[in-house]
Amino acid sequence: MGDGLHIDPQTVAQRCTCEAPDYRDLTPLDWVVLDFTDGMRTFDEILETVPTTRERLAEAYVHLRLLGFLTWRNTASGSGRAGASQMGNVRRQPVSPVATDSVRHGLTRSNAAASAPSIPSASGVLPVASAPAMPSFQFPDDVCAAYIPQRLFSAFRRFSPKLFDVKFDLSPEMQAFVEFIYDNLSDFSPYEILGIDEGMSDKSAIRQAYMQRTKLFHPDRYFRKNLGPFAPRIAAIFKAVSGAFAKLQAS
Amino acid sequence: MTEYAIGIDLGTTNSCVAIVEHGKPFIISNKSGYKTTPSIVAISESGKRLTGQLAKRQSITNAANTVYSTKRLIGRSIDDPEVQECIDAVPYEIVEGPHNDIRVKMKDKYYALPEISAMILSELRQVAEDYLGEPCTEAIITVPAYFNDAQRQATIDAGKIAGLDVLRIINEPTAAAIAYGTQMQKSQTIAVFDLGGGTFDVSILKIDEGVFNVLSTTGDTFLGGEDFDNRIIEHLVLGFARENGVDLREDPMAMQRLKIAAEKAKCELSEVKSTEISLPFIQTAADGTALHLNTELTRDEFENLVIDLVKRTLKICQIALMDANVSQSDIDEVVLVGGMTRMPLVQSAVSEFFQKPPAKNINPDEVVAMGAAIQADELIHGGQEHILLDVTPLDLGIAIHGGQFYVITPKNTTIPCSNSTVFTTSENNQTSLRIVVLQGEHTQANDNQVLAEFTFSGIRRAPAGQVDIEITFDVDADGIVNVTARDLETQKEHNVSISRSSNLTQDEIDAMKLENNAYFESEANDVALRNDIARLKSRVSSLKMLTQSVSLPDSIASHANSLMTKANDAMAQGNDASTIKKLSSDIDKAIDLIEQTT
Repeated sequence: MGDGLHIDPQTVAQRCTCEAPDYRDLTPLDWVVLDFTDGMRTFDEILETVPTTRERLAEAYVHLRLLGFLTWRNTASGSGRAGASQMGNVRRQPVSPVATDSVRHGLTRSNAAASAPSIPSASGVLPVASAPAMPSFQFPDDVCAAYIPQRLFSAFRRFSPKLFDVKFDLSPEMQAFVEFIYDNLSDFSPYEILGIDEGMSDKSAIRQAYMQRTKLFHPDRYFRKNLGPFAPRIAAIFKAVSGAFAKLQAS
Repeated sequence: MTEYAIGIDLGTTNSCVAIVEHGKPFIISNKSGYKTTPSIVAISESGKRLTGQLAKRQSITNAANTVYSTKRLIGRSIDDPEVQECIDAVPYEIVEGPHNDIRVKMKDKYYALPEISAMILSELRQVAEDYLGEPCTEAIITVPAYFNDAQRQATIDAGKIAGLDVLRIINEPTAAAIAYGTQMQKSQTIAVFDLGGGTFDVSILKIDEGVFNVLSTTGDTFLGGEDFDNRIIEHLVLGFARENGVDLREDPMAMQRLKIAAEKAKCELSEVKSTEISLPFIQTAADGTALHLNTELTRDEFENLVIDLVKRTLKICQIALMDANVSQSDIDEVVLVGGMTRMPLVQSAVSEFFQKPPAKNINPDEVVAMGAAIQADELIHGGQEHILLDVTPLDLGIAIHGGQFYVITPKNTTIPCSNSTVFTTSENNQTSLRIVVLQGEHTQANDNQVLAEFTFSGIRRAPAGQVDIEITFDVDADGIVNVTARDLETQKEHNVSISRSSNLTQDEIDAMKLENNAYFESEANDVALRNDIARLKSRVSSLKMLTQSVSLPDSIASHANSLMTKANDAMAQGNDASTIKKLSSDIDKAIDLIEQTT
């Protein structure tokens, strides 16, 4: 995870005052960060008061923004720029459609309504800019390691989830994850679908991976949950998972 | 959302309802205090509906109007050989229904089988509601793993008629495995041997990190405790005929007595080595003398009568192991389910076959309902500890050229699943395909059950074998099959969701549901009326005592007398609830008045 998440030190975050966001999705760090967010202090200033690393703080920022708790602007270069692009502008220059647009989410709709958000291409792989790392949706390391095939690590890390106006009973992380796996399903090898090393022959490890994925993708886990477009995707992923397992089991 | 969902084990001979409360599953006892309710329904002489213990108690005297073992008939057609066998064995009348289904007769009325099952389900629902003190509409019902689509659909219909929202139909052995498996931590491979009243199932499961993975399931829907009973009955009838020259099979009442005696003897022989069967005055001889059946049956004799049935179960176990691709030594635990597994011969045969003694501390009668309750609870509360990976019990496919059955989704495929195969035309210039969706295990298409039929038309004219049509079978977690035919050239699609070909129409189900509701309403009114009458009776006697003990002014005395006469009339009639209520309160007022004036 060398090129992790960066947010400009001069970024100033501001709380959203729209509809009541869902507090249940917050991590303890998120709470602390939200507490310090006053629309005055810059990222660096908050970092001085919150006992955490730069990386973790940036992560919390992105998470809070995705959930619709806060927006931010960059004070370093912001003065000379037009107000319209102020909202989502995070780093020096827009390197991809995602970086310029405010993330579209039910709770930040008021900001996003002006310019329709662009949604990443179906492949989920965004153009890789020459600029250094951009703020993108970030998964905890263990999720990446457990579920994303090695060769697609960086693609996934640049993958930004398609977020819907409607709120579904599925965390934004999971939405992005489902979206990503579903988009790449036809390209994945059975090993990749199960999230294990190519050519692994340890039957019990394969079974274990299958069990893990089953717990994540079996439709029963989401019984009577409002998943919207994610329901058929999860079902399709599960079918692929059990198909992949059967294939590896037989070989 | 309701807080509770119940699990119902709808058995051939006995049914059982369970619920999860404070995280623990347990069985709810019925009004008579029993944990299991006999799956018996009857209409009494007076036209009253009786279920459970009440129906069983009067089954001898009212044999023709007492219906039992309907689970062996449900979802079958009249010309099924197994149904024909049953027609000969039961005292009630079985006829063909309007949709190639079966109707049974009780007291001048013909009932569809889901209706009969619904009566039992309503009874169990009532048991749960009485316990919880709140309406309870969501349930999981279990069925034998080997039930086909029609049998499952008929069970869902029964649930609907009983006013239940059937969350899912799950397999009995799987339910048993859930109840057993949630108690243990480590991963295990278990075999569930389920010999119930009418059906036999074996499932092999792997339990791993809370995932219940069914590896294979197989069985026989016409092999169960009743076959063991029938062997005893046969034995007794033959012995009686040899001795007295009288065929007892002609007499339904005698047969009913024999059935009960046989079941009792069977249960006793699980405990003791020999039992006496004594049925006095069972028949009258040609010369008018009374004949008695008095005989002794030993365990050895009984075991000889049924040894082939036990061997049949072991053969099915062998198939289950083969399908699961495991050997006897891979099985960590054997779970016995169903009352029949109490028989020592069955237990010893099973432990010999699997080379290990069966798991202890499991109640074979209750474990299925408990598993269903656990699953129901996890579904509605979104518990994520356990995931059930069930399989398709039978091959699914289509009929192809030459009347063959082509399997697309083989049996024991984990659901939900999606399988597709590319087919082609069999004749030149063929523009349409008739797709017959089948379920079963026979190689000839005709021998299998038809789930749906549809025509895929608009195929381009071409020589035979030149057009590719892809057919996809999609089975979801509920086991509902979706069939899609797609022309690979034009991408034209035809999609059919198999709404499980039920034998009843929606209108019929709705009508039956209304009737069932009306019955329960009138039943509740009856109870209320009886309570009101009892109350009125006590009021009248108080008033009578009062008028006799004190001297009253004439006006009050005559008022009291007229009230008492009216009350006695109303009670004698005993059907006007509002008058009875009003009289009760009038008498109350009169009593108050008398007490104040004296």
